[in-house]
Amino acid sequence: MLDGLRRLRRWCAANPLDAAMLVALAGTLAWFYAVYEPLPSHSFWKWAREAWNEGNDLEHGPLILPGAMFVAWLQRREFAAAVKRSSWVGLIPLLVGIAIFVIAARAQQARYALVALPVLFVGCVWFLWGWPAARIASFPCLLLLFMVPIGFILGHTEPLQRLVASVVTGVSNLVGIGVDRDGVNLIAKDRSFQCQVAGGCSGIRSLIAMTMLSLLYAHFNERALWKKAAIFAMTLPFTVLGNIVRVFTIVLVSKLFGQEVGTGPWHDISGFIITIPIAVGAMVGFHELLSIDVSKFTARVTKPAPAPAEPSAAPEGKPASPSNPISYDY
Amino acid sequence: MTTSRLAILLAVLLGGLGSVYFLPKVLGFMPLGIDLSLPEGLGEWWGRDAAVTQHERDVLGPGTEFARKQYTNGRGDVILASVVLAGEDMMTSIHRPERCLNAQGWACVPSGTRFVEVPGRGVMPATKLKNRRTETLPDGSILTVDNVCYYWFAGSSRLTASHTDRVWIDTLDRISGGYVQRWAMMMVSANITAGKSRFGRDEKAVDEMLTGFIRDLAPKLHKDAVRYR
Repeated sequence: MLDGLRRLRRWCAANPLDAAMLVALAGTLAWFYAVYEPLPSHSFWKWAREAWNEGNDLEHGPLILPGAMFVAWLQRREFAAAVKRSSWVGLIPLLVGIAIFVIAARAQQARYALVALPVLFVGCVWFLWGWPAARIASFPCLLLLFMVPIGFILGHTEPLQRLVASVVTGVSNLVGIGVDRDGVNLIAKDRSFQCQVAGGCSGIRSLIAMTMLSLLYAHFNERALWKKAAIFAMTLPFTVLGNIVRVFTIVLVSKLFGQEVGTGPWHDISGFIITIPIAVGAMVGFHELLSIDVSKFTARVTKPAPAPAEPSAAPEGKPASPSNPISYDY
Repeated sequence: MTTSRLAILLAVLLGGLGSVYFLPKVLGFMPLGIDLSLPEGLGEWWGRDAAVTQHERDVLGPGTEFARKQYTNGRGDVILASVVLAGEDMMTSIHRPERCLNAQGWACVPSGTRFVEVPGRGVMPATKLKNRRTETLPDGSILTVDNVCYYWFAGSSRLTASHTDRVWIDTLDRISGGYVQRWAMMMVSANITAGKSRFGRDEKAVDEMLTGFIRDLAPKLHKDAVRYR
C-alpha cells in the first residue's frame, strides 16, 4: 500500500499536468454529484444518502462505494498488466452516461443519476486506457449499481411471501407443530403464536445481500463465464431456501420459547445466522459441483477393463496371487 | 494515457454534465387533477375530519397537503378516506402506500388491480391491498385486525393504480414536456368486521362497500380534465 502511494507520488511529480487533470476529473464528478442541486435543496448524493435507509433495505448503501474501490484495488495487478491503448470507442459509454445524468437532472430522478455513475466510470477508463482496462474496471463499477434504491420491488414480493408461508406450514405440520396458514399469516393451531411472513421476510433483504455476495464470489473464484452466470442465477433459489429455513426456525422458536422470543430477537438475528450461511453454503456447494471434472469421470467409466495378465510363476514358498490383489486405477 | 486524451475527457465531461445548467431552472406546473376537499355527505355516508399525524407531516416533503375523513353510516360501518396531494418535490411527497402501512404495523398483501366503473365517467383502476395487524391485549390474547384498502393516483389528467406507473408517467412528462404534476394519492379503507360486530361484513362485503364508495367519491374528487378509461 505504502509502496503504491510512493509510486503514485513519483508519478505525480513526473507528470504534474496529467495529475492535475486527473484531480480535475474527479472534482468534476464530485461537483455534479455532491454539490450541484437538481432536486429541491438536494444534490444527487444527498438524496442517495437519505434513500439508503431501512425502508429501502439499503442501510448498507454507504459501504458500497468504498467496497467497490476496495475491489478495484484488489484488481490492481491485473489492471497494471493489461495492455493500455486509449480508445475513441470509450466516448460511447461516456456520452451514454452523460445523457442519463442530464435526463436524471431534467426529470429530477436521482436513481437515474446513480445508474449513470458506473457508466461514466467505465467510459472514462475505456477512453483513457482502452477496452482491456475497461473490462477489468467494469466489475467494481457494476457493484456501484447496488447503490440504486430499489424499494419499489418490495411492493411485489407477495408471491415469494406466499411461497415461504406455504412451505413452512407444510414442514411445520410434518414435524408436528400444528400451523394453519391464512394468506401470509402462520397461526398455531393451539393459538399459542402467530407470525406474518411480511414483505421484508419474503427473503428480499437477504436476496439483495446475496446478489452482491454471489457476484463477488463468482468473480473472484471462477473464470468460466457460464459458471459465473450459473452461480449468479442460483442466487434466488438458494436465498429462498435459506429464508424458508429461517422462517421455520422462527415458528419453532415461537413454539418452544414463546412468540416474544420467536418474532422478537430471534427474528432479528436469524437472517444473519440462518439465511445467509445456508445461502452461502449452497452457493459454494453448487460451485464445487460445477467444478467437478466430468471428462475424467466419464473417461473412467468408459475406460475398457485391462485384459487379465498371464499369471506369473510364483516363487517358491509364496502364494501365486499378487501382493496387492485389488487395485483401482484412479 | 496521454495529456491530450485527458484534456479531451475533461472537456467532454465538463461540457456534457455542465449542460444541466442550461436546463429550465423551474419546471412549469400542470393544473391539479383533483379538488382537495372530501365531501361531508356521500349518499348514506357521513364524514368527519380525521387527524393527520405530525409524523406524517414530518415524513412527507414540504408542500404536501392532506384531506382525511372518517365516514360512518347508519349500519355502523366505518370507512377511512384519505387524500395526499404531493408538493413540488415528487421524490419525498408521495411514496408507495405499502411502505407507510408497513411502518404502522400492517402486513400488506397486494391483491391486484380492480377496475371500478364510475357512471357517466368511465372505468378507473384502483390497487387493492389486504392488510393485517395483530395487537396483544392486556390479558395476553392476540387480537387480529383485518383490513381492505384501495388506492389510486391522479395527475392533472391521468389516473393510475400503480406507483411505478406514476413515477414513469411523471418522469416522461418532465423530460418531454418540461412540466411537473402535483400527483394526488387517494386511499379508502375499511376493516373486515365479520364475527366481530352484529352486522359485521366479510371481505367480499367490505370489497363491495368500498368499491361502491369509490364510485360515489371519484366524481366529486376528480376534475373534468381527468380521463377515465
